[in-house]
Amino acid sequence: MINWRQVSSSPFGLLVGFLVWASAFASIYAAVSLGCAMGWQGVTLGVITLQQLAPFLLLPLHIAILTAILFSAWRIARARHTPGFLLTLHGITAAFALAATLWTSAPLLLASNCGVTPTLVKGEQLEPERSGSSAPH
Amino acid sequence: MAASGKSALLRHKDLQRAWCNPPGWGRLAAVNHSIIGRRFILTALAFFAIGGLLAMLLRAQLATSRSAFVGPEIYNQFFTMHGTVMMFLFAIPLFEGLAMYLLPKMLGSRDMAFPRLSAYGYWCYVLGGSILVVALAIGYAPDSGWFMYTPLSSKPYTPGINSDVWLIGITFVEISAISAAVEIAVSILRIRTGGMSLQRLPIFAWYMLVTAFMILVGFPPLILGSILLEVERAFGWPFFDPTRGGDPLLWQHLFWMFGHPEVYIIFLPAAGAISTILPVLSRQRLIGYSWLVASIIALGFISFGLWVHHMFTTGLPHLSLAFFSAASLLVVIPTSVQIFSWLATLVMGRPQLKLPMLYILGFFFVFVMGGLTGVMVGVVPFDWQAHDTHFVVAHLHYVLVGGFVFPMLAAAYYWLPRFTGRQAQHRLGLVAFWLIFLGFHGTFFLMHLTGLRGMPRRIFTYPVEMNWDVLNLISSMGSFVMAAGFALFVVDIILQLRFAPRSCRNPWQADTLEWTVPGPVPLYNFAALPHIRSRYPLKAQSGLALKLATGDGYLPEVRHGWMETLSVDMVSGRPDQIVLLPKPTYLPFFAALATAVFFLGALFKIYGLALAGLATAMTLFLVWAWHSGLQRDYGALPAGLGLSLPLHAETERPPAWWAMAFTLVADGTMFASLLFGGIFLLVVTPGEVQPAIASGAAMWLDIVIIGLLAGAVFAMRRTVRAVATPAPRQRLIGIAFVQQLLAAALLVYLIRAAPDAKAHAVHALSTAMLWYLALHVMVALVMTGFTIARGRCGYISATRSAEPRILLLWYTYVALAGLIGLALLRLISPVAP
Ligand code: HEM
Ligand SMILES: [Cu+2]
Repeated sequence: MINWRQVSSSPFGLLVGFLVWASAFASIYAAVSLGCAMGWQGVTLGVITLQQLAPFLLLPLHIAILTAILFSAWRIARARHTPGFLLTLHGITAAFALAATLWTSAPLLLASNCGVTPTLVKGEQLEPERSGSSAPH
Repeated sequence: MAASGKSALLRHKDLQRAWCNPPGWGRLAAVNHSIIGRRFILTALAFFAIGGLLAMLLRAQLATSRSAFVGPEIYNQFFTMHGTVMMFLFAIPLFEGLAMYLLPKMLGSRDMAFPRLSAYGYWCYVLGGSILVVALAIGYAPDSGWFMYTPLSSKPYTPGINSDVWLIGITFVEISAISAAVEIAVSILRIRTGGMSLQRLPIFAWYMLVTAFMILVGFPPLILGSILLEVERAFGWPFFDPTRGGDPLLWQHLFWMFGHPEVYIIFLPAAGAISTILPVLSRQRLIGYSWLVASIIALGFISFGLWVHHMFTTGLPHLSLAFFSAASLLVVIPTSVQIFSWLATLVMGRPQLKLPMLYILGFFFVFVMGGLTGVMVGVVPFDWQAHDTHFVVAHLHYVLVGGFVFPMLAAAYYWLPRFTGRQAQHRLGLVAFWLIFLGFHGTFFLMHLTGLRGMPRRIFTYPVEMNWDVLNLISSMGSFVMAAGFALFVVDIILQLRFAPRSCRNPWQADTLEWTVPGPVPLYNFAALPHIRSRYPLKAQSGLALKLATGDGYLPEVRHGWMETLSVDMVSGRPDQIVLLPKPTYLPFFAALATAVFFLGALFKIYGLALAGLATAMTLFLVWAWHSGLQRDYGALPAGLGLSLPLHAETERPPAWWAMAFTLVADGTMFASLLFGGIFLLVVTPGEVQPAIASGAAMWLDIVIIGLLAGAVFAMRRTVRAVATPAPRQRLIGIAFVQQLLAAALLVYLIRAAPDAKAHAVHALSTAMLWYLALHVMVALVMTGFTIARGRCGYISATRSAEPRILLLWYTYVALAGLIGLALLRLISPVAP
């Protein structure tokens, strides 16, 4: 297992929170784009489509990791008299990263899937709300 | 040995003798950070003048409708070169130079971690920049815009050499960016003085540290993209050619993965200067140090999640747009944390309206306006309107000039006494400020309006019916006022260099260490290195400068003519090594010349010459590396203040180990970009693709290669463990060598067996991946051979074990890359075994 005490006392520990954010951002984005390209919204699994499932598995996973990081930082801090500079910073960056993860995933709730604004596809025949096999751009 | 009876003058003479630099032609051998830093800065300013001249020509052309000053071909070259020069040859080298000059003085050290690397980077920058400028002078400059979009920049549409000049020249210059980044990161993390823990790091160092890592991750996609595009242009591998399975959007992705972070890479050092200057001139310590550090880190990361906002109009799915729009708005938060910290510092302090402060206020004003228009274009529907109009030109100059040029002018006036040892004088500077400030708004504020009236960017002329004449004429007049301001700035600086009276040591009452260095700056910076007990050593430790001059500190004596500085534990700042710095040498200069031969060979398609250049450069690097290290153990040596420390060559992780680790970060990003390209093409490629690896070469070949690479890692690990006993050690390295050799042979076989890379983008990408792996294995071979020779000549021992350890890092990286890369090839082109 990862030794959080060690992570939080290394300067590279400061990168951990945002690395998780980066992973969330990249993996959710990739899953959604791949889904659009491969027609995942056609594949239903019970109540939801495969297209919806992928991000809704990835997001809670990343949130859980970030919460765990924050929690461990808090526990280590509590065990000491003063949290110390590096640990404080570790906590702030992890909290920032958690907020950022929530914010950058918000579009999942709002945007329509896979749609392309037709007028912007220059030099192609306009076909509104393209989706399915070929890549949308 | 602290404060031995020797006088300050004698100590200075001793140090001077060890650190001296030959005059005349010997200047080409200089590696000292003050000299190289100064050269970077002056060269960057020269390029600013060139870029500025081009800007004036652009404005002259656009001043009136149907102007006949230059035609479209020349106009295209002018704006492309203006953008390129400003971004690559002015902004980045300028802050690199500033960092090189200042960081060691701020961190209490005598030089950067790798002085020869600084010098090499500098020469690469000068030579690469010269390729571009010469091309401009003879009319063959790049002309596809500073972001070189394909297919415009591809062979069919730009058949001439223009695009090649950009791709090759800029890649050459990027060597200096990457090497400076490695150097800056290692220096900040390791090469400090005793007691300078992370929480006592000057804030400027935090900014530069994050910037350095951003360069390591941000530049490789562009370097990769440039190489791929050049290979497409030169050999017809169709990475970006949609008729053969490629995709022009791949270029856009690779470019903007670099291009957006680039804006923050330029902004952060400038913000670092502000965070340093503003508290001093407000006579108030910076408020919210920890929050600031956290927000710099946040900014560093988030800026990598934004690149697609440059592609809002490429017809991406709504979801992508929403994602990147959200991330674009998110950067506002860490940026605001900084702005509020500065405002709080201003409000709590007693600000003095000195000239640097005036520039900072100018920055606030301009940058906030740029930020507002930034939020506007970050909103997708607005961007659909404003995209590619002069609105964007206005926005980007508010951000770049506001966020970089103004802070750098503040920095120039703030640190000028540090460079010259003379008093700061602000009469002409004040006039220059107002000319620049008013000229700037005159030029660019109006461009918002021309943009909203629909004037596209990058047009060489426009018809009178559009009614853009008045706005454009005033814009152009404004730009000439601004140019006059810059000219006055230069005159002012020259006058001050010549005529200003001598300054006292700390004219601003600042609290960072660079102000304890005597002026004119000696090459060794500090006669003895201070022990730091506060983030504000000049305030907390009175009389520091005097103490250092009398040798009360670390490393006060010269021994064996060595040039020494300290290396510390990254977090606590406890000294743990004495680093021996290299003497002046011509190697970096000649290595850069050889590198230039390589790039020129590639440019003119004389590939034999290119290979000869490459081989020469490699040889010079090996000679260079050979001159490092020791052939015997010295054990712990006295380091002053009662401390005894080993030399860096006698530790497991000297600075070079970290340099390798950070280089691999950059290399890994390049590899990840290549993987991204593969997956991108896989997803967008319509239809079936033939197998990329000839069917004769089955899965088991991959497995053998990976097995060999893994075996080599294993052998190398055992080498490291057996490092004390020469015979088994040399045998194990030998085994590793043979395994790498076999892996190289098999990879070359795979390349030869692969189908024609010209036929399809997926083939091209697979072959590129195989080449990537093969080249890495070949470099491993060279380094292994080198290490074997080093072992024979007694450079490796139980304590001097760093070289095999560094090699182990490379081996491990290559094995991982092999595993992932070959797996990707199977994925994008499955082959029946
Ligand atoms: C000194 C005053 C400056 C003036 C008068 C100026 C003027 C201009 C103009 C008129 C254009 C638009 C050309 C067109 O689209 O037709 C332009 C483009 C550009 N400028 Fe500047 N500029 C100045 C300084 C800078 C600085 C300091 C930077 C960067 C640090 C910069 C970076 C750029 C870039 C990246 C472009 C886009 C080039 C392209 O479209 O390929 N400029 N500039
Ligand atoms: Cu951007």
